[in-house]
Amino acid sequence: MRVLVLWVLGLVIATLLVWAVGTAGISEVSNRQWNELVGDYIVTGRRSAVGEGRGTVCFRDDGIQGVSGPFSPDEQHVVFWGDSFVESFNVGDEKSLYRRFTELARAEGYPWRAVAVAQSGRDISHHIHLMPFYRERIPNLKAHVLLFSVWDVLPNGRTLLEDARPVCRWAPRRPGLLRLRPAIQAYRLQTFWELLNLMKTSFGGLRVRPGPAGTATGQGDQEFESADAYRPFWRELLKELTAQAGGQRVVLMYHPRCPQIKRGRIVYADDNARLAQAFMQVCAEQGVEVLDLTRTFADYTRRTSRFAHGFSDTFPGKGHWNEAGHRLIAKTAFQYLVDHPQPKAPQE
Amino acid sequence: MLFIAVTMAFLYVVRNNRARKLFLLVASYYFYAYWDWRFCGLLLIITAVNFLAGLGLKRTDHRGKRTALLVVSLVCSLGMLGFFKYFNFFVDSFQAMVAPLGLHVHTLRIILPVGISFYTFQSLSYTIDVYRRQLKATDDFWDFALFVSFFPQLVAGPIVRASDFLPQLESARSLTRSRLFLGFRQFTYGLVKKVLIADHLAMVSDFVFQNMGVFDGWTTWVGVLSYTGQIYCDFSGYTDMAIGTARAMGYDFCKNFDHPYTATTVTTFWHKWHISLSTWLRDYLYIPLGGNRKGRVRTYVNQLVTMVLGGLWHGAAWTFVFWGGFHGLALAFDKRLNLHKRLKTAALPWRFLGWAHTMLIVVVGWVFFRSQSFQAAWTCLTKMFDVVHFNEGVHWIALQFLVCVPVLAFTHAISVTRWKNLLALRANRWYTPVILFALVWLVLLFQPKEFAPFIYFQF
Repeated sequence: MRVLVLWVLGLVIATLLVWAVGTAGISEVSNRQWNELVGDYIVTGRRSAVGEGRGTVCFRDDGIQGVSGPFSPDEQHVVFWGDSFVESFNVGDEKSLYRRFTELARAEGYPWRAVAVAQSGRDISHHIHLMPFYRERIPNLKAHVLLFSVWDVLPNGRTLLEDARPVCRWAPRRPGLLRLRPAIQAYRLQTFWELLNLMKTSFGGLRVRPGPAGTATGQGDQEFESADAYRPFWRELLKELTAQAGGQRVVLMYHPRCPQIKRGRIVYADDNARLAQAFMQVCAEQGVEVLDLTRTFADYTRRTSRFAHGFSDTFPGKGHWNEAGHRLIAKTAFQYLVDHPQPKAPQE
Repeated sequence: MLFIAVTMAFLYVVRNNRARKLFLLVASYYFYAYWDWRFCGLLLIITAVNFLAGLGLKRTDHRGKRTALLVVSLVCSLGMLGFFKYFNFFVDSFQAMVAPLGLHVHTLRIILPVGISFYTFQSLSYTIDVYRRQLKATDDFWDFALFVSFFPQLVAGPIVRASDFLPQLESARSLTRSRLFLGFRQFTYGLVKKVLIADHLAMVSDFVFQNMGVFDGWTTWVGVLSYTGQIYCDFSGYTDMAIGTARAMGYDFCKNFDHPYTATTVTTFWHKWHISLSTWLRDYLYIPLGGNRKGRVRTYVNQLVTMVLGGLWHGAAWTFVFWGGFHGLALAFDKRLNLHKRLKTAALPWRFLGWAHTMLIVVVGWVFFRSQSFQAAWTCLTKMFDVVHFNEGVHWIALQFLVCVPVLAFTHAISVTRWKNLLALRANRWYTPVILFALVWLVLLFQPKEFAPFIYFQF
């Protein structure tokens, strides 16, 4: 009996230990949803667990994401829109794209300040719905810079009018609070439930099987329709984007998933180049400025034998932008706005 | 996990030895059939052939008949192994030779049965031992069938000797709390080695080996050292799980690995790596060839032949043959300089040099073992040792390497110090359950997303 009690206690203590250590790496943020009646974001009551190393560009109390402190009347603001890439997944806040942009601008004597509105999973149709909110609240808005990949401009089975505003992961004001201190202060039940869920799913998933198990295959390349099939949607998307920007400048920046290491060599070509080029063509027709970062990333890799994507715990060239990637994009965006202080004419 | 749990529950509830053994036999065949039921017949044939050969050897003293029975057993067992594992290899090699003459030889679509190398060698050891009169043949077919098919060690070893296992089957094993604890502990260690270390290192080594030409020298070394860690943790991890499971069921297997990367000579390495195979090769190949009793040159030849065939056992490819031969030459070199005996009593700096020399040979050998071709192996070695172009290429020091390899190095290093029992958790310590369950949690939390099959399943 004593032995049984010892082992049961051991299981409980081990679970608590692992949970406690896990809280250092997992933080909770509240979820908020836009409420049309109230005209603001309200707490949904649900919380999300955000793993350490995941980017969460924080919110101010007034619901503005991606900037801390008040706006200065002397500054012009550039809003960067995106998904987990712009949210600076796995990159510290101080090295992220929007901070780099602001530092670069200050160093070069431009009174520009970047704001980052981004969350994992968002695409351009989400940004369209959020744009009026930020347009009204950010003074001296110089430009909206939207970073996109081909997946962000696909219909996704949803029309522009549906699913108006996404749920936001509302993180505390200062990113530092995502770390250990709040984990100690707060009672992290969320983490404990996640551990229990993990136990439930893992005991089914972890199989020391008798026979050879098939290795899970990596994600295959998505099958796209031809570009012509998407053109009507793209025209609508860009029209709505321009309308929601309310006459403010919009610059799209295409970020490809290349270069990559494949089949024993570095492949510089973008697998989705055809679709991306077709979209950029429609942008040109509609008079929307668009930049292509394919060459920027390729030149960086050729010069340094390093990649703008990937971290030490991922394969080189795969995954989100690393610090170098954020730096490159910030520099490219900054240089573009310096070289083109006014919007480009259509088909330029 | 459910399979093991059900099996354990049955064994703890049912006390009758015969019932237990029959259940284990059925469970073992079910285990094998789970992969491919068609090859249960092959397992049964090899079992039957060797059992009948053993019976025949028991019943006759006629030298000619005994030899004939042994030959039948060898031909059947090795014939099956040769066909399933090596037919296409030899056909492809023959095709490469005759292709310039415009001839074409077709290969067959043959599925390699899982574990065939292991259970073939295991059952052959029984027949040979009976032939040599070192072991009394058993009359109990079910015991023998269980010996051959016992599921913890069926598909990836260790290669258990009949003289060790058959006596254990004769009487009911007492299933005590101590056994259950020791078994669980060893199983957990094996799980940690496999899931936390080997599978994570596999991600690094696979990516580097698949894209060898792209990386710089540093990254190539990272990939090769990752593979060095991976193959040890994968194989010894599985063995630990097998031995742990068997122990919990009341059966004891011999150790199959003894911190091989602490070896100061290649000879010592083979005393610590895959011990069941190296002793099998020693007893059934090296010694019958003459061992070291026929003069120095013949000793080197015997070593080389044994290791070449040992390499071929691992896989049907010339890179495996080369790997075996490479180790054979290293063993001959050891023997020539008498390194094994000299380094045993040498001062620490010399033993360190011996260790570095051994690790270099082992690591270079793994390059051939892992590479798909000689060209790929050459590319890898060039990258590793070309000091002029060492920094050219993509640089990637993976986090998995930085975490897993030091952990592995630590466990190896501590095994040669007076703190070597530090990691052996005792049952009567209050923290033992905490640590073991915490390890299980870590396995669950950090298991890679993709399942990596055990490397030695393919042998």
